[in-house]
Amino acid sequence: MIRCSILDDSDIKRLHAASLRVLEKTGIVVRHDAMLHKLDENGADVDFQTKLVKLAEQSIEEFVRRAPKSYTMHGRDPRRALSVEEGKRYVRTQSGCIYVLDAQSKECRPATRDDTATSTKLIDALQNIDFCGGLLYPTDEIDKARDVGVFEIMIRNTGKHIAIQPYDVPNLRWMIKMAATVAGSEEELSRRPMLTAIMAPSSPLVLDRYAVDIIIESGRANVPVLIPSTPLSGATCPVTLAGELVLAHAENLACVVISQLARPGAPVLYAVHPSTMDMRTGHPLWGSVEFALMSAAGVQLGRHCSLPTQVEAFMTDSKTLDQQTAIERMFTLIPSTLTGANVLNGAGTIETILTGSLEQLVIDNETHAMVERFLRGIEINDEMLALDVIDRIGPGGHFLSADHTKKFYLKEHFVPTLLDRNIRAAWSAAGEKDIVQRANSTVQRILSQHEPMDMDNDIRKRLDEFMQQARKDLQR
Amino acid sequence: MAGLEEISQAVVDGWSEKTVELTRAALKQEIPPLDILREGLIPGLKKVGDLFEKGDLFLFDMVRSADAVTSSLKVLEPILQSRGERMEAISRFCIGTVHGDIHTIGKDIVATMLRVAGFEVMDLGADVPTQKFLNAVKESNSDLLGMSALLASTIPVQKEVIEKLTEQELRGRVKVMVGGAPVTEKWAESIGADARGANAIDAVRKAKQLIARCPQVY
Repeated sequence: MIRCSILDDSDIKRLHAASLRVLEKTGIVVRHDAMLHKLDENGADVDFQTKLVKLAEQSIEEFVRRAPKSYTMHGRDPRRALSVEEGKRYVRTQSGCIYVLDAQSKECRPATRDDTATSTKLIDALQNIDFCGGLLYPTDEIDKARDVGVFEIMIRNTGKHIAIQPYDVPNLRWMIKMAATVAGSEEELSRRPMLTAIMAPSSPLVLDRYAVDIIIESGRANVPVLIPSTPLSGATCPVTLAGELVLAHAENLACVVISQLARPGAPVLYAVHPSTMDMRTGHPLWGSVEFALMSAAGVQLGRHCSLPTQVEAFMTDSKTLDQQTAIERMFTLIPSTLTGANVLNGAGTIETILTGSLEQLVIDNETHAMVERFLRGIEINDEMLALDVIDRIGPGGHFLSADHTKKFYLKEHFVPTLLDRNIRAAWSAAGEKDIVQRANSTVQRILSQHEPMDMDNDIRKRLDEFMQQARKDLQR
Repeated sequence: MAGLEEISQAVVDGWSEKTVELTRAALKQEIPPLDILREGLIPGLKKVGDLFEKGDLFLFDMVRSADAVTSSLKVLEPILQSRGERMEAISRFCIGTVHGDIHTIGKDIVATMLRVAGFEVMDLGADVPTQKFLNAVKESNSDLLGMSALLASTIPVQKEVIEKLTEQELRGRVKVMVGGAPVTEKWAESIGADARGANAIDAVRKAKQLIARCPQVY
């Protein structure tokens, strides 16, 4: 497999040491009294008044070592389990887009529960999309239970693993309750966690109460926690790339310490989402070339600590499915896969993760297959060097009838389904469609054919009941 | 007066220390504090706003210039007060991030842009309890109230504040603006806000449209 690096070993060590220094000297605010006590008992320097915690270098390293290097993300469908480990890569859809780009009308409109269900079915069907992040967030769900609503729709409509950002712990508890019903029991769910919970530090260097609570509650249920540190260059972190990485890595390490303190061995997923700022408008950017560089470097920092990593890999700030989308996506996708990310997030999203597009999702599905091919590199061995075949065919012959060609074509060459490789006349005859139009046909075809894995009627009913109760409970 | 032009330039350059130094020097030369404000600080800020609009300055330049003016005002305000002088009545904008949300950067940027545009900004900070917004409206004589929320889980608080304002018969006293990544035009409309700022520049434009008394000063 091809590997590249953005940072060399001495750079990584220097950045890592700098992050440790930040946690030791500057410290991090943890707005969670019980956790402050726990940190205090474990030797951290805690100021209970300001909630500032300073962590000694040695204890950070010690706690980070407790986090598992690998674990399994399960789905409702046992065949969809993902083994998160060194050398494996999985594609996840973005979470939380509140708009959907309608390919036909070109209109960008607020997403609804129906959109969430439709997009989940598509995610369930697409071969190279490994797990589901709840791409579209329904604006017709009540605000305080929107996350639970998304979870309920997802677990009905896909057998794949689910990643979700709970708004708070009561919301997470409803999701765990639903997942446990599907799994059979809470014990069974903790053996086969079907969801990953997302919590985010508030840069710079603040962990809010609910974020810590989500780490604790997830640990209790053996639900993996995804920690995306999301600083904004020049605004909530230094404007320099190295400075942003130092801060993001420090926040991540602090969260890992807290998770391992809450429950040693609790599964975590390390992520740096290094947004940059357009200093003319103040807008955060997720498709910038610096975002791409820092993302790929962030993967190296996570791997340096032997932590499984996620990266925001399918990113763009473009509002439509145009060349900007393609350019920015390739920059955020390829370098971070080359540095060894385990989870490639963002499939299906455009517009700085505000908008989702089913057509883009189908395109990302194909792109990822190409990336996988690319990463396999060029295999060098006797069969691949093909000296025998070259010798046998000799000068002036052709290789079309050779067994060697038939044997290795599909192994060596990627055959696309969406990219157009026809001559112009054939392309014209097929309606002069661009890739977005072709992707739209694929979306329509899949949605008319695909049925997600069946679910027991009793479980369906219970999910309905839970959802109704959750709405009442959370609206209070 | 040469000294005042220098003050303007220090504001444009975003040098807080230098602006304060020059302010003190001007006071020593017995230049009236209102003149320092009207002919030094304010023209500087105005130029910053123009340069930003042209794309010659960046956001951090604006923030630094606004900081420079704030530092200088700290020196001038006690003197203005002791002389019984005031700045012209300008619009007051009360702003904060709603309860449960500790994200401040968007709100901070809007606050700075409003200051540069000539508003008097009262910044309540982040994670602001609903009651604090209500008290601020009751007590501060603000013309506008702005609420920011980044989390989809905290935007309902914007609605809560507006409902409470109505309940306590305070709604008529202020124009209400909302903002934050998950805040849509539709949301703003549905909760009865007067406007939504899509970004900081949009927020300033809408704030200016909303108030009958458009800020005269800057």
